[in-house]
Amino acid sequence: MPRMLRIRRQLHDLLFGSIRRQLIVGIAAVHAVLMTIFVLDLVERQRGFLHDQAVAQATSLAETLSANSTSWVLANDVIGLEEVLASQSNYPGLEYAMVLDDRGKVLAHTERALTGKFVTDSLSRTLLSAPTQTQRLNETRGLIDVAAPVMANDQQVGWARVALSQDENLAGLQVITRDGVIYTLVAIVIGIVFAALMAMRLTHGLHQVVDVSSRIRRGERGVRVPLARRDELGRLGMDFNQTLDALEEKEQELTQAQRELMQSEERFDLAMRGSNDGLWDWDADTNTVYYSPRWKEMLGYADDEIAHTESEWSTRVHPDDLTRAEAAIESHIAGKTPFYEDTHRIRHRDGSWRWHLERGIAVRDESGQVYRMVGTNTDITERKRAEDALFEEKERALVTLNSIGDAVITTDEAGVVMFMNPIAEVLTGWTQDEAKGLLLDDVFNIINEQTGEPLENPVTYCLNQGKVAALAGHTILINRHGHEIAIEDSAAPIRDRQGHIIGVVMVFHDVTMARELAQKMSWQATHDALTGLVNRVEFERRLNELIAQRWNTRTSHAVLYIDLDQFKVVNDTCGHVAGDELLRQLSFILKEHVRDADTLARLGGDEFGLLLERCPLEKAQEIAESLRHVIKDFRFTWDEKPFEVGASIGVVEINDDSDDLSSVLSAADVACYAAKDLGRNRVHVYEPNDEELKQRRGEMQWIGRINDALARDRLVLYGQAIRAVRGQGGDGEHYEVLVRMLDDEGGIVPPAAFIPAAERYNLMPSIDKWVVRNVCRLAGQAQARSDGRQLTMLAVNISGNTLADEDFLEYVRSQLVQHSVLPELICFEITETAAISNLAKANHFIREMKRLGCRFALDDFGSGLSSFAYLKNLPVDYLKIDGSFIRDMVEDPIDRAMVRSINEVGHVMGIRTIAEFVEDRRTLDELRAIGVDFAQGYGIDKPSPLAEKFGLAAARRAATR
Amino acid sequence: MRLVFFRVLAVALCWAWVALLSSGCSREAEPVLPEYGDVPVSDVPVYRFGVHPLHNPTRLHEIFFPLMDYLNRGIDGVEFQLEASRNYAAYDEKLFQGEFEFSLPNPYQTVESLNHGYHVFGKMGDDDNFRGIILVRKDSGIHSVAQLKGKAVSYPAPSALAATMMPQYYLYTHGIDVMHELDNRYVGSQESSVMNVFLGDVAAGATWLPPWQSLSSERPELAEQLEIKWQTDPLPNNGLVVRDDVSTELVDRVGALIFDLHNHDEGRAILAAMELSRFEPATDATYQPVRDFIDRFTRDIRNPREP
Repeated sequence: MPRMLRIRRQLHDLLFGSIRRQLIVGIAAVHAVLMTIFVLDLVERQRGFLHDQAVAQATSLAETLSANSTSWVLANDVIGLEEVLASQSNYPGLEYAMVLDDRGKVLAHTERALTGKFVTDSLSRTLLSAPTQTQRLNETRGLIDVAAPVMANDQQVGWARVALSQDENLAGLQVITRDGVIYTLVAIVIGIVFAALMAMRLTHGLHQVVDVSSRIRRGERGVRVPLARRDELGRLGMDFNQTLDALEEKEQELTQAQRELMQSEERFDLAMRGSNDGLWDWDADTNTVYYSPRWKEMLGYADDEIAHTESEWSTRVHPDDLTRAEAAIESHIAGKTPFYEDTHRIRHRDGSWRWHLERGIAVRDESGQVYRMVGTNTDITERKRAEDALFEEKERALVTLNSIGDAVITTDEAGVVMFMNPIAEVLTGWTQDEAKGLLLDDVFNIINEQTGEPLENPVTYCLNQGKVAALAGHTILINRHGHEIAIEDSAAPIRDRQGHIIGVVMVFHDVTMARELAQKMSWQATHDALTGLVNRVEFERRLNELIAQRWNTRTSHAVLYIDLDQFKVVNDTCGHVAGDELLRQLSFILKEHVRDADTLARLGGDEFGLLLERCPLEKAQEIAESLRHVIKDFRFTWDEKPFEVGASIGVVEINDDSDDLSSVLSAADVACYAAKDLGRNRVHVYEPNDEELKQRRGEMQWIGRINDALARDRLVLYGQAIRAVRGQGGDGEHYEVLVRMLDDEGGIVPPAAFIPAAERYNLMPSIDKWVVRNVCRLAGQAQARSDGRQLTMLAVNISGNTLADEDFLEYVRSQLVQHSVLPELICFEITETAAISNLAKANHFIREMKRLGCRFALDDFGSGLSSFAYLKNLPVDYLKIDGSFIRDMVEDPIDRAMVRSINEVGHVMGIRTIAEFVEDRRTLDELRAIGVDFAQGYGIDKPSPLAEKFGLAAARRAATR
Repeated sequence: MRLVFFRVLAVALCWAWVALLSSGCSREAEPVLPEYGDVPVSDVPVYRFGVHPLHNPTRLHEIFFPLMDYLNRGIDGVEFQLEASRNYAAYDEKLFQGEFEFSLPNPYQTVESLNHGYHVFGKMGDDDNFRGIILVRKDSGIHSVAQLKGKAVSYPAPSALAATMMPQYYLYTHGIDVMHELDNRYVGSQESSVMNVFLGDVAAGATWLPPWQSLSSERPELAEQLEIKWQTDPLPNNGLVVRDDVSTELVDRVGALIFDLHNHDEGRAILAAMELSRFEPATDATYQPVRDFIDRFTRDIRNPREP
């Protein structure tokens, strides 16, 4: 192998040993490659051309032979074929030609001896089954062998096959190749000669440069390249000479600089020795550190005991300090700090930790890169110890102050702020830094909570009096942001050893929350959370006060009892959220309309009370009237639906005659219900001598009386006929069933007297059940005796409360069954308001009863919400147009129009209409003109006991009992 | 970098020279030269079916190839190969040397073949068509046979029975010494004989009916300007002969296929190309009239083999 390597090395030197040889070899190689590619390409093209030509010739020959052979093949005429072949046998380069029949028999061949033989080689066999088109059998460099099918009438009958030798073409190609090689060689020789000449001229100059540079290396100075050329070599020589000039100059400067540096270092060394600090010098390139003898001595080492490595420092620095110190160094190296400074512990040879102040500065090159850092170490252990002791003491005090929940401010003897703990900062709104140096008065501004007067600063008091000052109970601190904070606490003087006051410490804490909580509790106890109005408790308390004072004042006061109408509709149709919102809005409006001195209270639900102090009855009545208007005008909108509410207001005067709280309240309540009874949305003034009111006043008693009447069957059924406006309605007789109560003397109590009480105290379901039971019994009897006469339909009123009663539906069913009443004979009248207030239950009830066959009438239609939309949801049979429209319809065109449109809508929906309150003939005529179906009223029939109407003795007995 | 360049250059150079120097002398592949043997690749026995040169070989192939194809499809295990001949002489030579297994010679050759190892197993039908006709130009003014005396008459070939011998015998029976009073020109083919009359080279031209029918329908001007002046009596049509060594079974199968041709569409198409209505079975005896005619002709006019 070494021998191989040597030969290779020698060969390499021979070819590439100098630029001259490289040039020659390169140019010769380029010639060789280009010429070779050229000749190669030429030969290849020639070969391709000759080949294609030979193939074309062979194909043409074969096809000619094929065309000429057809008849002879058909005639199996060997002689004829041989004649045809003979004409082609002299073709230059013809290797062989033959005609085969379709079974491979040689019909004719240029070699006659083969005639009559069969071709047996695989290629020929393939040919026999090949498609009928010219086939190239052999296509080699030496031979082109082509066969053309012999065709007769589109039938193949044989093959004409011709082979041409390529030998001549090959010989021609070899001549071309040989000539190409000779041209290539000649080109290479010429290339080498020219390359040699060119290389000699080029390298002569280079040799001169090489010669001069080796002389410089040997130490000669003053030699220069003698090149006087204008090309790149000339420029190279010139640059080289200039570089040599510059180098010599620099060499001289360097010698001078070295001398100056030595002097400088000597000076610096002397200076350092004078100071007591240790010196270190870190070289970034070598990452070595020079530690001065003093540096080592500070740690208890001799000069030769510490090496020049960075670890000599880092291994001695306290582990807790090292990271910080290194970070400081890096920060400075990164250019973030103007110099490096760190205080850290460093281990002394004796094992103790010494505190060192280490300072340093980095030296940077032009690009800002640090290549050196120099610094000093100063031993500050003693100073550090003293500082730490002081710091610990102070820290202990500060932490204590910062941890306590009270605010602490200390001042000096002049009242200037010295210290504030965090709580004090929060409460005063001043930070310690801002407040320090200010007078306490500037930071701590206090007033009396109740009077608003400024209070004396406790520090001032303390300084003046020299004793502890406690803060007054109702102190409010107005802090920097103007916030008022209730505070409590004290100030105490600080004295020195001699007992001189040197300052004051003031301690205080925030009592705002406690005070607010107390206030809130008191407010909540007396106010309604929803509306913010005074609540019933507070209202009664204030009313009580007024009643108690009634003897002391000449003037009278008044109490208003306000009950909202239609509030239940809002609550039931839109939900409690809507109801609450209505109450809130309404309270707000009402509050604006009463004097501040008056007490507006929400007594519960939709009831409000208003206490008017020093207000005569007439004035109170006016106020009540104005409030009623306000409420009436108020439009509440929910989900884009507007609602109207009204108010029934009872007014009671508080005067010398007023007994006590409960009697006043009761009177107000009664007056309010009287207002409601009289048609709602009105004001009723309580008058003690009002008989009717007196009666109402004992409403509570009605509960007992009604229950008693129910138990003793002291209720009577009355009936009022409903008649068809135009002759016979086709439904036979039709009565609305009314109920009356018998008093102890057998007098008739009108419904207006006990029904409101019954409704208020939820007795209606019981009354309605009584009515249903008795109506069913009556109807059952009438039915049994009817003898096929047309039967009477009875309309029973069902109150809203009853509709809401879960058992009612089942009760009605059982009564119908028990008395075998035809359900078609029973009609239920439900007021629009009752139906809508309990829409789901009403609907369920109506549908269930209608399934049995019962009829339904919507009562007082038009008086309530009057929304036709509800009508669509209530599958009723009759619509009872509210009497208020009927009463004046003859005179009032609006009422008339109302009746007309209700009638029309009813008819469109297939509902028959009933007019209530028909009292005269003119009204009846008008109704007939409009087309209303039925009429009811005093003008038609007056109410009388139902049993009489039926002519039933049993019923009469019941009525007179 | 520099060395890499030189190395690449050197390798490229070496490769190029090897390519150049080898291009003159190397061969990529040796050609497969044909080899020869005495036995065909296929071992299916071949039966040569020689048809007398009714037409030139190509036309003959056109007309008879469908028949061969029909037979090849109808009989398994053998192959029938149609063989034309360049002229009657060549046909006669191959027939008499027994080269064909099956052959369709003209009636005269049929008779001759019986002496050379063949026997008759069938023949072309339409005997009525097998009669010679003599055509003249309509404008020639020739009305009687006697007018031909001293004039040139064209025939296809000396040994053609219907187209040459029968017309010559007709002329002989109508008072002409054929061999001496006429310039007899044997023009090689039926078409040639007709064309000689048409072009006015001869006064009359002899042929027989089927070729005239097909020629005149292909070239209406021939029918327009020429007319059949005379026609001979008929003789049995071309015979189907088979070499005596062919198995009776194969002959029967061939006969069954050929005699059935007129019974189906494919067969009728094959017959139509031959202007023939049917093939029919026959025996050596069927050709006794021909034998008699040849004897008379030989006796009265000339040896059929010599012009």
